[in-house]
Amino acid sequence: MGTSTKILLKRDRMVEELRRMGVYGSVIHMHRSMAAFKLPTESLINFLGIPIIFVLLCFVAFPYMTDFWTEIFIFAHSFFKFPGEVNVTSYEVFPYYYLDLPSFTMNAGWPSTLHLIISASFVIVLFLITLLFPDRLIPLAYLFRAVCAIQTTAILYFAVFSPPFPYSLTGYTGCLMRAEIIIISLTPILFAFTLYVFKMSLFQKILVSLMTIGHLAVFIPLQMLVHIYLIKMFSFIAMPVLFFMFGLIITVFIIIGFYSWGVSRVDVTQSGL
Amino acid sequence: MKLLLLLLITVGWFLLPFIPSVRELLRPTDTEPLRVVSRESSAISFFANNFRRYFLSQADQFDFSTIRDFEPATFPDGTPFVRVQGQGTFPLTNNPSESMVDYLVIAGEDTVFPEDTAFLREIYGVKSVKGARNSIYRAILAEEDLLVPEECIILRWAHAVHSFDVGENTRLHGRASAEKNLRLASGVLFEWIAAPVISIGHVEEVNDVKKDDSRLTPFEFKDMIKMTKGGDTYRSVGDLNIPNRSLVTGSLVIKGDLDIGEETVVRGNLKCDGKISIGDGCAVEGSIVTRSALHIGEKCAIKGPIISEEEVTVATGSVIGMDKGKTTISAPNVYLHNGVVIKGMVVAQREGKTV
Amino acid sequence: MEKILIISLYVVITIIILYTIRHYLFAFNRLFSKPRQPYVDIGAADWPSVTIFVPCHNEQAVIADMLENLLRVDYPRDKFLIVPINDRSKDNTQAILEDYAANYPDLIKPVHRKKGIAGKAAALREVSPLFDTEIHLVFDADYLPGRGLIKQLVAPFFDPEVGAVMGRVVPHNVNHSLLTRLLDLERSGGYQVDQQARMNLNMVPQFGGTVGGVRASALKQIGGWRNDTLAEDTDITMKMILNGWQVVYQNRSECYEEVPESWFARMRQIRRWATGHNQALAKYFIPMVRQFGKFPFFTVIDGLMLLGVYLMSLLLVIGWGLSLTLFYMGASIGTGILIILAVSTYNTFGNFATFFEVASATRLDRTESRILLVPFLSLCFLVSLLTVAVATIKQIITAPFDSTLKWQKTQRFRNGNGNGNGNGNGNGNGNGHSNGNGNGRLIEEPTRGYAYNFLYVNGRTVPEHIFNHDRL
Repeated sequence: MGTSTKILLKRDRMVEELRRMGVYGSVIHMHRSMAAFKLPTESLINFLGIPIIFVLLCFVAFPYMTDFWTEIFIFAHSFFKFPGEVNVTSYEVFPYYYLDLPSFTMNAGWPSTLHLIISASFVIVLFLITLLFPDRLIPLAYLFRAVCAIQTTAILYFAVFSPPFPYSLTGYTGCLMRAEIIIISLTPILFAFTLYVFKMSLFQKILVSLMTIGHLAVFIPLQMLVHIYLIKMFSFIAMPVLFFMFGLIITVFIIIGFYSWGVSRVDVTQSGL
Repeated sequence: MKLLLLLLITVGWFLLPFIPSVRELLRPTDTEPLRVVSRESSAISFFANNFRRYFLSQADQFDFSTIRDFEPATFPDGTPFVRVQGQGTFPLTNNPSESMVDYLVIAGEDTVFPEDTAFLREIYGVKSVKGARNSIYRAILAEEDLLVPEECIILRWAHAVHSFDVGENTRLHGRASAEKNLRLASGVLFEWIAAPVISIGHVEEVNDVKKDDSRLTPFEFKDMIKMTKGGDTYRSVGDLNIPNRSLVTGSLVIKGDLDIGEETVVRGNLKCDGKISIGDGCAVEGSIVTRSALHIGEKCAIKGPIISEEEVTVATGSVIGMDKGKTTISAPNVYLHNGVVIKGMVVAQREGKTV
Repeated sequence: MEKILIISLYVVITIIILYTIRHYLFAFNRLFSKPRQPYVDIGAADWPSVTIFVPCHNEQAVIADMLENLLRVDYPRDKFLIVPINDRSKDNTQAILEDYAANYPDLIKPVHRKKGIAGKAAALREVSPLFDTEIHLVFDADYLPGRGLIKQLVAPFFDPEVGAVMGRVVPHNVNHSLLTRLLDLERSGGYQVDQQARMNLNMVPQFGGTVGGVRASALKQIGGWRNDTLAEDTDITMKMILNGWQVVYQNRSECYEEVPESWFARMRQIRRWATGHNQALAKYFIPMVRQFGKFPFFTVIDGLMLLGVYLMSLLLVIGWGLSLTLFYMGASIGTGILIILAVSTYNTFGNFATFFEVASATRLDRTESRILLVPFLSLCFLVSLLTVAVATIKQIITAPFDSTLKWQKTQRFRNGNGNGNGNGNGNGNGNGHSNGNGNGRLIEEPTRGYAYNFLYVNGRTVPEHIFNHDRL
């Protein structure tokens, strides 16, 4: 490269910097309506690299994670004085990939008339309470009404049909845990599409994924224990609402929580084509 | 009790990721509406007018009898400035080898600007301003004429109340405008330019071109569909070639390429999904819109706006716009040949160049 | 029975997945491709004549601000007419309009409706044929157009193929409550991402019935505004597309609006949108299907998906119902691990799509921490989903094609001082627009440059003031 070419390049770089610099040192941005992001090579590498590494690490770490869950179940078993024992069953979580997942050998019962009455009372009271909610609490009212609607279907089912219930507590927790583990492994892939494509530091990208996975690794056994406790206490009548309203949706909601924090760290000054 | 404890731990852990969200909900930090620029009009001199307003508000509060020419001073709002006129030495930044002037410059008559210098703040010319070659200017407002000679760079905008001349190979980033004439030499790169008359290089005559219809053949809209009942807009699916010296009375919406023969007159608008090629000596009284490239031949007269999503080339001697009806050329790439006259404005989103 | 339910569930999930893919596609397109706005830079032209219609019904809180803003727009005065349509207002709206009309007789010509079908569409249908201008723009009474907006919205009509134009709606009462903050996020996603992506991909941007306009000749060709619909905007969009006209979305053409500040008002609004949109679905689904082979494939697909967008809520509720039924039946909706994998993937990616779209919009808008409210957006979606689903079920049962559905006006909340201030001398009344900090003593509001000798400082011309000094 000749000296004159170098001087011209230096001048072009300076001009580019000066063009975007406001008189008080601020940065002049393109108007939001015209803005778009560049997809730099670095983002593409992150886009592919981080999820691959994380998914591989997940596969390595899952056995340790499920061992940790088993320990929690053993502790909970003695703490809550559950009948039966903690059982570990090997499940195929991904094709040809098996994990030992904990469960309790106990099962829940078909709801008694008392269960039905308590449940129906709960639904009626909760629904009536939502009618008293002021305008600003409408979203909560709708959330509670959705709970009421699902619980009503459960009451109707258990009032009309007779045993057996098609699910066991062990099968229910096993199925839910498998789905939750899949969601954990999907998280880095989801973030690759929706977060890593943005400009932010590699550290932050890794941190968001680590925090999410770490949080879920602790949350899922707790969630399972709550489900088991409530189903054991209130019979199978509690299962539908727990499965549909407080199951996988809650897990995804947690991911959204981390995502909103992660995406708020994105370097938006890079937009502009 | 134990269940309550379990519930508390689970709910507490569940809520952890939402702490930033809950904090934002309870103690909002970002609730301002998006700032819609209400004052912005399409006037290209918008920045220049705003700067003038700002400058005068500061000048009004400053006693200029307390400073000497070329002596750094500060406006009430803290903006450093220097008043200059005639020949003198501009105060440079701390590193003199960089030849940078980081002061707002108030330029009096006959100010001699140094060559090879970067002016990082605006220049306010109380009358005419003559820049020096190979320099970089952030923004210039000249209350009379403005000359930016060859090999210069305008970073944000430049506006002349009278005429504005731009030398060869100068780069005009942002907006460049004049309220009378804007003359661009060859090799000038531009983004937004506007003036009642913009002329490229040497221009022979600048008049609204009128075409004689008597020797034209009326164009027949064969196999074309009328877009509205009783209207004069016709749609065609494929390519369309219009013969030389045709008279097209109506607007055309073409889904393919459009080739217009020489000396044709179009009394309507043109819309094309493909390329448009307009032969020499044609006249179009309406707008021209294409998703592809547009080539306008020599000595054409186009009255309406020209919009291309790729490229517009205007050949020698063509006149775009009218004295009483200014118009706009807007395209990512715009190439204007020597002798072209535009009455209105040109916006090149990616690259505009005089050839 | 079980098999039928399982197949139905698969159908529902497939349709929802298509919408999910659409969300991702739009977000990626908008994020990483240059926004297509070919007309926005037209600044000089022989501008066509324009009538700006402002339908009003009990708008005393907002109408003065609206007119003040319209009076300040940059457009040739001889080609510009403001027509407020007062539709049986019972408040002070009529007096305010008459006051303005008296002050600006050439610019403001209000029309007072006393009879006929109520509602915006009916008002436009009745009044728009009375004004013979090339372009008809429409603004709701609570909007606050900026100076350059009218030229920007008119510019696309230089394209003879363009039949309707839509600008971006920006909420200005964001800081009122959680609802307004959530609606701000929702609007960002809808306009900055959805609408612009459709424009980029040459699909079907939707004309929203406000901050936009139509070509009068195209409007006439498609039969004018329909008064038998609650979503005249969707109706116009579909008829324009089906008749070969293009609908343009222009992201740069922003205008402030007031979003509902109460959940009840929001629910009423979305109920009306859903009902009207579903009317359009019933009317235009088959005609749009017939366009396969005539229009580009993805334009037709997008048109169909746009028509069906409010049906999604009902489909989701049906999906939940089917899932619940199959759950109680103990039905296996598939075999083994693959179905758990599919369900988990769907749950994760499917539920995430709209949040990604909103996040993308806020990043493009360069807003700061408002994105943190995204988790609460799911509550907003839940309310919308259930409201729309119930409205759709009611509509299916009672009146799928009912042309006499009652128009319900969105409640206005502004606490400004615009009431009755019709003297034409207002200063924007705290409408969120900056009026700059120029020193009015020095110069008047400039619309063009000034030669130096017209500029005075302290009673002297600028050169005299700055250069003719005698102390040093």
